[in-house]
Amino acid sequence: MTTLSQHEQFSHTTRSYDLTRPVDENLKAKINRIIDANKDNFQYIFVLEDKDLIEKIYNVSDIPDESSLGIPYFPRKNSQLLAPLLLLLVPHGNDQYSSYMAGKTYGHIGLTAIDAGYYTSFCICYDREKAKAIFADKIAPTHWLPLGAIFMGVGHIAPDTMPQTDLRQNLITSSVSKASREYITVLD
Amino acid sequence: MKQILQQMVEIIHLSPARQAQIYFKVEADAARGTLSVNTATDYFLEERSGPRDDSTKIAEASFHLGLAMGSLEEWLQDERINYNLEEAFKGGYPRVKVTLL
Repeated sequence: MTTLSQHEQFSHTTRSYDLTRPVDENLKAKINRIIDANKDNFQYIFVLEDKDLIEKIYNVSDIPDESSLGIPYFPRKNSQLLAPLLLLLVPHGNDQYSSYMAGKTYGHIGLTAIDAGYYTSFCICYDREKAKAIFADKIAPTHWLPLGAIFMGVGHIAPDTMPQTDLRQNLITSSVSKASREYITVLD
Repeated sequence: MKQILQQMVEIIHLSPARQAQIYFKVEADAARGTLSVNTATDYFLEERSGPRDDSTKIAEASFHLGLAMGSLEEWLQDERINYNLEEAFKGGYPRVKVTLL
């Protein structure tokens, strides 16, 4: 049974995974069932636990400069990728439906993971050409990684840390404030 | 009915989209038992202007709307609430409408 606090947790990202604690088999089975039910929406499905491979992906993820939005910037990698379990669902294209279905599948996975006591994260800002090279033995040369091909991390949070703590950089990144409610209308 | 819709509105409001400065225009109608969700493109385009082209913005917004709806469906199914989900993908940003049954 998901609670609002679990949905609140899903809205925040995790940068401080405990890499010594793998995701348990029970949750992995649930995640695989969700992916299997949606598999027709994806041309490739990667479920990764190999630390060396995950480190390679981390090394091709440069945080974008969004200082124009008021977010302080310095060059660094995206530590949301440093999860014990990393998923990549590759949609069939850049169209709305493909991107929407990738998000929807991750939405189901995310709340299932949080309900099981885990934390989640996302990474959109990796270098798609370099990532494709990492998966060169799996992805056909003529294929590419569309915009909706976004990594999702799942794992336990490291002891005595906050989810926003970037353990590699010894840095805490602030969360964005809630969206204005002026976009919400409830009619009686 | 209204209480369920308010919970649904809250779940959409809590979705990860806000971390990406993508906002949804949500309208709940208790009399009809419906919840409509559109991407608030004016806000989104204003705050996320820059190197992103329209197709990138639409893909990002579509992904985040999917995230919100996936997490909302988890809640609806956990609560054993029957619903019908309409998803529209014709041109521009996608839209969804949930009707409680």
